[in-house]
Amino acid sequence: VRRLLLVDDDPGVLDALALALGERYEVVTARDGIEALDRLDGARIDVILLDLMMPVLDGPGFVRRMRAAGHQVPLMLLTASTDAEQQARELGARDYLVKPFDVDQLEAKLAHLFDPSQGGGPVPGRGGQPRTPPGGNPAASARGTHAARAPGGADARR
Amino acid sequence: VSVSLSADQYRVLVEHAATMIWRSGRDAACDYFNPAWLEFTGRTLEQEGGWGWVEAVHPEDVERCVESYQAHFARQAAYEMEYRLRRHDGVYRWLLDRGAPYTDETGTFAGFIGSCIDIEDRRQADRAKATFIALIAHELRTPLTAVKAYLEVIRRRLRRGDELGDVVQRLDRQVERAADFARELGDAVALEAGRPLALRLGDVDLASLVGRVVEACRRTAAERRQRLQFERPAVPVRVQADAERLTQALGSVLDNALKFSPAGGEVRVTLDRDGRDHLLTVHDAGIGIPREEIDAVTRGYYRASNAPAAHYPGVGLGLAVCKAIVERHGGRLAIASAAGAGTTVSIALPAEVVPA
Repeated sequence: VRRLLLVDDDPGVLDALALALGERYEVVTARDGIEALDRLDGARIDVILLDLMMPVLDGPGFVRRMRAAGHQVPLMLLTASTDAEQQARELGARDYLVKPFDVDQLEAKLAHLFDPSQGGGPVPGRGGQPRTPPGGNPAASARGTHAARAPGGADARR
Repeated sequence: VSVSLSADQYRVLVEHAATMIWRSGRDAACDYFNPAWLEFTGRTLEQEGGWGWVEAVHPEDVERCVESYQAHFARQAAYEMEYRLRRHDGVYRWLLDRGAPYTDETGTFAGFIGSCIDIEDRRQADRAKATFIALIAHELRTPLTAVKAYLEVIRRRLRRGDELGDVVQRLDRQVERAADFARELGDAVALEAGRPLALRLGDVDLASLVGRVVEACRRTAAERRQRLQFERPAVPVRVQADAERLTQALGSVLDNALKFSPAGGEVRVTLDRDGRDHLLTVHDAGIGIPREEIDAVTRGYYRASNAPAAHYPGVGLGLAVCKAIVERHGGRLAIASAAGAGTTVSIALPAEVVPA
């Protein structure tokens, strides 16, 4: 079972997403960047689902610290920011979703990330649009294939 | 009716205007600045003359500003532009500058005359509005994210014929949260429009009301491993009050205390008699509010400078609404705090409530 690290400062969001995603994945949660760094040290994590606005250590701060510590786990931003696309690019995130999103949509993106032969991958410039139809975007799939197989995918791509 | 002003009347108009006024000659170089301009920049006519005024234009704006001026000058076309100009105290302020060509006695183009007004306050208000709306959007998106996820869980469990468990209650809490937020916004709108908050007074036992609010916050406190202390008075504390409104006010104060306290911190709630008042205090050892910002925080639409939106949720209305509720009850809300030194919010409610 793939293990997700879900990082969000809102207990409601954390609880609801952990419950929904828990049906298919193993979910580890953290409420800020510092907790998230601890979790990364504790266990194998296959993908990080990251909120940006958090106390103590925010999303961007966490990404810098995590990279500095040598972690290369792929990132997906789950954010209420209106400039999610730009943030995702700047942080080298594999994909992003703008809150509120459909769990189906998140699961499709995760499935694609773990197995790029499945649809639902990143659609450049439209990743945050609601109800993006899952489907083969050749460019995205090609990029995803390369990145998802290598543990250092997020960095290798840049 | 045509009214013409004498030359002396024009002189008075220009020299006593609050508006900043300048004039340039045929070579586009400036040869006059009125007292309002010189007062603003704190420089002399000699310093400003010719192209001297350009020195005080913000480095990021100077190229655009000068190019636009010269282009309009060349076409002898009136213009309007905004740029930042350094004030006498070194602070750059946004100005709206409107320039237009003028002619001499023979009707020949002789240069430009322009007037500027300081639009910094308006721009700041525009920025504050944009920030506020962004915070509202964020504040709505958060519970909706949880609501959508719980709904999906419910949908799937129903499809499989599984037990729902307590998902509906969890969903309900998030909907309540969004509803509380909507109410706070509505209250702020009412206050903004000068409408007093309506109270429905009744017999209220303050001790049990405070106890209930504290209990409702225990879950949040536990999630953040924070201790929440309240020594409930042994006897009822009877007042005439709007129980729902007081619950809302105290809830928002407690919410803040937990939100701005570190994980593992402690929040203390007390309820005592203080002369003719019942005194309710909420004390936390959190990040505090910079002393000079306490007033702004209670006025609303304001978030303390040490609580950036990137780190703390909220739109900056809670305390303002809370203060209005307390004052409607004839009470007072006071904040003792300093940056880094924790916060104590005191709510004094008269034992004999005479609504304001």
